[in-house]
Amino acid sequence: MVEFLFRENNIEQYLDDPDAKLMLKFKEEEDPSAFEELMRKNFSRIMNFIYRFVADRELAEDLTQEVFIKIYNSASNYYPRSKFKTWAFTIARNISLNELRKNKGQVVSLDKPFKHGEDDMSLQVEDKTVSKPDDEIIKEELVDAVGKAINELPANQRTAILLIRYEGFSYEEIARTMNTTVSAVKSLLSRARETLKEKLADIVSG
Amino acid sequence: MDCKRLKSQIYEYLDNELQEADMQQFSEHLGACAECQKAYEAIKRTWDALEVLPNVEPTPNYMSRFWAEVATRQNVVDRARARLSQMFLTWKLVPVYVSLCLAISVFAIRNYMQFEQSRQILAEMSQEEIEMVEYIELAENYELIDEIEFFEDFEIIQNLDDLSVTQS
Repeated sequence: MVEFLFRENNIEQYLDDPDAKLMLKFKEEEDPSAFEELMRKNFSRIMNFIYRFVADRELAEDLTQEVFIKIYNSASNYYPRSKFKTWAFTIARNISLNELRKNKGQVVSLDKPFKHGEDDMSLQVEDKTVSKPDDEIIKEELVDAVGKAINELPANQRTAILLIRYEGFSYEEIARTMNTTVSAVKSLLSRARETLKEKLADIVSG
Repeated sequence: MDCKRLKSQIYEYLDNELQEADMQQFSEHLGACAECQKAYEAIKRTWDALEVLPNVEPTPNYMSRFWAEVATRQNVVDRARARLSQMFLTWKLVPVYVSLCLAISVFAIRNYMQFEQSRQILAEMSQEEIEMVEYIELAENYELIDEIEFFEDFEIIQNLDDLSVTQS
């Protein structure tokens, strides 16, 4: 509780965040190039987060568009109350969770390998006519095993793992993104890591 | 630092969340303890394995797609706004709006006059009359209350248990 109250103080610090500055520039000057700069810096990153969340490249790109449309529509009321990245990832997380709820059981099938569009790994694996080097096959198996293990995590644990492992967020930043406490984040990460360790034990040690 | 403490801090070490002093103690112990190195390597292998997930890039036209989508949605909002304007901001509806305004004005004036009248009556009333008005509901039921011997009945009901004990 104290942690939540403390967070709202000292909001001036976020005015130095370069992305927050771009957002304010877009808000005050209605300069589309500022918003485009913001997109160039963050689109790919957010798209990858969503892609790892929903395991579908095309859907990830569509949902990332939604994230930026939400950001665009919020510009007129924008004031930096947190780092831009934690705010943007909060929106990305909410949109991904809504999508999962909307298509429960359809978006993320636990047996479904990660979909990359034309580079879909499953297509390559199933093509028996093409012989492949052993290490490439091993890598593909590892990609599928890791993707599946992450997809099987509960949504909260998955969010925390993705943010720390792939986005390099601190515990504090994850807590802000997920609107929870640092100790809750540590607990989520600990449970997620235990699960991943168990599920990947064979493939990692082998 | 002992082995138990090091093992509890492996994840925080990998996440770069240890304080500087703890980080140094951790590294020193890890360099000197084979058992801890083994535990650390096992966890790190799983952690490193997560790196294999591929990165994806947005389609090259993602920016133009975005602005096109913004324009489409803006058009939808503009069209809805224009339709609403057409519906409500038209000269045909002026008599309706004028009638509504008149009706609201008449209602407001009537309420104000009633309020003023009540205030005047209240100002002319004595304290006794005001009390009577306050307890007007009791006055309405006065005859009924007078007819029933309520308090006597109430006492009987209250002492019913005692009476039955005495009888037995």
